[in-house]
Amino acid sequence: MIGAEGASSSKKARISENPVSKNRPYFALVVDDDPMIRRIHSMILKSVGFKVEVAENGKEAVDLFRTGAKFHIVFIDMEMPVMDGIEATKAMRAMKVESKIVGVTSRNSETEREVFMQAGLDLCYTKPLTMAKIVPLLEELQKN
Amino acid sequence: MVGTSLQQELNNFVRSLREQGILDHNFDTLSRIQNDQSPLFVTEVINLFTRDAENAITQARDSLQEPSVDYDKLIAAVHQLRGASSSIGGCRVALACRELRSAIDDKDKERCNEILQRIVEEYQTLHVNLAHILNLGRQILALQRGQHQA
Repeated sequence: MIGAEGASSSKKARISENPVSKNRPYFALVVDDDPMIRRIHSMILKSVGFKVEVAENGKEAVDLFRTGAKFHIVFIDMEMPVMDGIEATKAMRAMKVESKIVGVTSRNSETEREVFMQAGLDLCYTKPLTMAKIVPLLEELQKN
Repeated sequence: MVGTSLQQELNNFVRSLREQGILDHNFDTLSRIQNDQSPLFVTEVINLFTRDAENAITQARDSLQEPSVDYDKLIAAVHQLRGASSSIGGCRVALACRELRSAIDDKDKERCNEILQRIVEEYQTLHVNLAHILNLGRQILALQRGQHQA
């Protein structure tokens, strides 16, 4: 059984106007062209209480926001086909997306990461996502 | 009970892989977050990793065999492999990928080939051990299902 994460991003309940509520769960978007990474990151996020949607590339992520979806936090890979993480992040910020956007990349060159950050990220992590990286983000969301 | 001893055997095997440096704590995370709703999560991840890794290694090998090495394609393959292997806890493979990236930056084709060969060897070691983990996991699951039906 693959679980809900296996479905494509085209299906999806749209989140209502005010996702930031103490009585509602926190919503995360995982954007990565690698099904393995989407699966792992989704499960880790779900294990700490996030509701998770996935997108296979930057364009799918941007389209989700265009259709009115809202997420508390976006975890986005740098290199993806169709639209990469840098272009997608720029596009989301141009749309005034206020979600926290966290880059997740295997690249460890400072120059490459800086380019990604300059696109509008709040943070940039090296893969893999771990509990140690996610829990402080969740705590910050809860505090705000 | 057989189920308990199989689980213990699996735990001991994973611990030994950790001690040998073949797996790191990221594999433990995957095991911990597997739950009743996704009882095959680790199996799925291992199978996806195998596919990713073999594709990436093939792509890297093809890039290096070209008369004029396509370093961009090679970089993409290495980073895919590094991300996948580090996510599953395959730290030795991930470390070798990091070294390969350094060789690519130096445009040192000979060193790239040497390191790629080492990556292949580390991957094969990891793959064999992950296959054993899968096998033990399948036996445990089969026993659990048998016990539920009984």
